[in-house]
Amino acid sequence: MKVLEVKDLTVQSGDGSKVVSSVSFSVEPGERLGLIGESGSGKSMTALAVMGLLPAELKASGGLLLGTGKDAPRQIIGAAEKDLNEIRGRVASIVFQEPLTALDPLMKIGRQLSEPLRRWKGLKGEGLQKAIISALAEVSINKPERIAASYPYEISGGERQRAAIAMALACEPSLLIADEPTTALDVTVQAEILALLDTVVSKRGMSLLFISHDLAVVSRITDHVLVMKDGSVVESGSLTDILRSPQHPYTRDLVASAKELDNALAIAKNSGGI
Amino acid sequence: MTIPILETRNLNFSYHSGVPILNDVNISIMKGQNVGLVGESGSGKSTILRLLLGIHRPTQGHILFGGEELSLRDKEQARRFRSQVQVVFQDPYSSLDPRQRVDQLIAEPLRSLGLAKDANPGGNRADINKWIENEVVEALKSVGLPAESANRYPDEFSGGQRQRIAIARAIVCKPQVLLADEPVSALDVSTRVRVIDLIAELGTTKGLTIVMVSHDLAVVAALCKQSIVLERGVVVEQGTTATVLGAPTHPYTQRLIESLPRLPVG
Repeated sequence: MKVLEVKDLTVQSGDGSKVVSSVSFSVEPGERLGLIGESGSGKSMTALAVMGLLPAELKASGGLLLGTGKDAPRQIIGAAEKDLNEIRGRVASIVFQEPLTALDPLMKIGRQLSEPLRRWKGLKGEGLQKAIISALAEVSINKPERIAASYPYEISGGERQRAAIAMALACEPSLLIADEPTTALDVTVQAEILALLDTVVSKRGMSLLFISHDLAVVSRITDHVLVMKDGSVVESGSLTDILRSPQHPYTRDLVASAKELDNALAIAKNSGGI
Repeated sequence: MTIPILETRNLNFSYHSGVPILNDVNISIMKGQNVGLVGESGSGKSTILRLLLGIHRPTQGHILFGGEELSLRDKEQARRFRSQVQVVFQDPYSSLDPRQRVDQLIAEPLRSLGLAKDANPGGNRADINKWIENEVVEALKSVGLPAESANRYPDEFSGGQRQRIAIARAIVCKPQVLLADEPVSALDVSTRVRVIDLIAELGTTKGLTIVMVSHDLAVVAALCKQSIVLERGVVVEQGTTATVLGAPTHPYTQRLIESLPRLPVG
């Protein structure tokens, strides 16, 4: 049984314009899928629709089925907030681009992380404290006690994103959606976060929907991708094939651009190597 | 020996708190040699740019413009400096005044630096306006925008087009140096490549020397022969971009290069 099935998803704004039009794809248990597109392609709106988090002025239609892979999948579109709350975090959770805005600035990291643990695992007291520390340790945070006692503004961008990932993982979801999770980070931190996601997702056998504008970044996580443009999927398949022979004109442009930058690096690197 | 267009000597900078942001930075910008200032957040790369622009003054050390100490109190030097050293910022959504038409935005340096009057000695207002209009259209053309763009407002343009407008504004006074702070970081990949190509082309055709701050080594590799790597306010490595990328000697540079996401081979 599929973890996520998107059938003919269309997201429309109040004036009738479509930000996502007739998008279909699915994610199997343990599968990783990359969603590639530039600004305005609808990739983030697709992610928000899956989580039932679309802004009020946007309306989704079509089918959006989320499940753990074991029980019967549930329809997200039109679901009551109460039902969505049972799905969010446990069935699917999301990590956003900017951890500074994703985290509550007025709450210490430990307390933010305690909420899902308390609600879904019924932990309290010492057990809860231990769970918080081990959740932070799992995302390779060096001094979990210090981070748990810090406010988001007191820690680095990389630590914040790790904390946000720990929160997303807290209720052991079947599907993790990562929406440009490294775009706001420095290159060295980006490499660490990508390695972390790779490890955690494998270890837990989770499915991953990884959203990015950067082909090179996506290639570190998965080879199976969808390319979106202006709300529609224009191409899908293996990233290796798409890089080798992109079919859609837009994909060709995207691949050519990415290759041009990568070549600039390669040329400079090779000419200076000793 | 040729005199660098811009040079820093033992440059130190800190804010009021006294925490050092830049520590003994020595760099030279030579005519025609594009330089990339590379580093991650907090490395001080943008602070160097702000110092080179005269927005901040050094806590210690010197900034030399054509061999003479940069002092923006010297009105005559300041005017020369502003027409020779121009800047493009990262975010074209915040760097252009949304209430000004594109022609007003681009013409601003020509008016405020008095260049329009200098070029038209004894000219009346109509002559000057005519001259400005030509210069603006010329600048728009050289960044690949149609002349009609002049009558429109920034919000009518895409991110890439806005960055072209910002570049047109910077080059309209025919500067020698273009300081660019992450000029393509806010743009989509395909737009990014086109704007890089444009900057490279302007460098050659207009004799511009480009000093670019970037966290993205691929962008630096595409534009700059020279690279300077900064870590927490200290220059840890500098040399040709090829050497810095191909044979980095400092552990930080090595880590930076290892971390770069690359396309899979094949």
